[in-house]
Amino acid sequence: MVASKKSDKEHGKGHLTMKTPPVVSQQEWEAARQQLLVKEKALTRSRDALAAERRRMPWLAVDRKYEFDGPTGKVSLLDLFEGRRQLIVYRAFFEPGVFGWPDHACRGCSLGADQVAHLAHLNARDTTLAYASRAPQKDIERLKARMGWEMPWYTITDSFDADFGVDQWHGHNVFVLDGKRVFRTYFINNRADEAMGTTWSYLDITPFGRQETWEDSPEGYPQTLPYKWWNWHDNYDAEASPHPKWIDIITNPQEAARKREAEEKA
Amino acid sequence: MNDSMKSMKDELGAPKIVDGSTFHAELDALRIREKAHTREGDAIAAARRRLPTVEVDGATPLIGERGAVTLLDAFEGRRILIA
Repeated sequence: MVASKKSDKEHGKGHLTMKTPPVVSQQEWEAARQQLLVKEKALTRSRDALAAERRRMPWLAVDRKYEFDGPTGKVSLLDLFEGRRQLIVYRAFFEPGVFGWPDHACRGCSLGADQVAHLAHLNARDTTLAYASRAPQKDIERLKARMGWEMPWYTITDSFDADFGVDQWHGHNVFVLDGKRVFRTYFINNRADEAMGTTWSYLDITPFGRQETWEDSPEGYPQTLPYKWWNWHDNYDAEASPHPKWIDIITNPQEAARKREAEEKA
Repeated sequence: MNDSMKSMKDELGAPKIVDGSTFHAELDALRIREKAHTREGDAIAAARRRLPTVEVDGATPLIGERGAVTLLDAFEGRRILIA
């Protein structure tokens, strides 16, 4: 990733006129950091509170039968869930008339696609992320191969984009499945789109959240203990329930370390 | 997904199902708070840009993919390094 070194350096030109903060001792720096940390923690709590509000949003029934083109033919909105309970659909601009076509998708959407985390973790929380554009599948397939993107990516064929506020501008729509009925539960765009990419950013806009026991969720919502469901992205399928050693480490790190030492001695 | 998650899902109380205008009104109301949160994040980042700095020895040795390098080398010619 050294392609843009020359342009990187141009940013440095103005540094002589910059009014940089004072250089201080380790102790003074630590004190200043601790002060800011208080605000940072408050911001984290406020993010958690907003996610809790989202989990209490009312649901909007999606009754129209939408049809997409997928890699293997026609699919419905229901199919986009891939058997999971929650679905996030990001409308990315990739179609004739968009700057970069047909080699590239919109630059902003492409930057966003570059920062999508490995989807195994999201999938393990019963949640599917899909991208949707107007471009035909053959172009989407070529784009994904060129850019190294692996998320499912569908072609919009009807009023899906107009109906969900993403015909003129990008956005993430969140859906939940209840039996065979699909509901729209949330929508974000603009700077909220920019912030997407981590497993947590996606889960925080879903109706069930991260599904961890510390969360303030309505009664009966799926929740399991934090950390314990985490797995390596290539090991979720192989390990249906968490490895007992991992559970030990997370439950009581000191005790797990003692056990490990005893095993090594034996 | 484990069995306990599945059984909890079955017991999920039905959330309020509303019409489009109510849905959008609720969305708009939460959006105001979300935007305030974004602005607060920006303000904290602005404060971060004003934090004092501590001098670190650029000659600190590190081992990279091609052998011995310094902390200075790890910048790869850029101005900012996150390690």
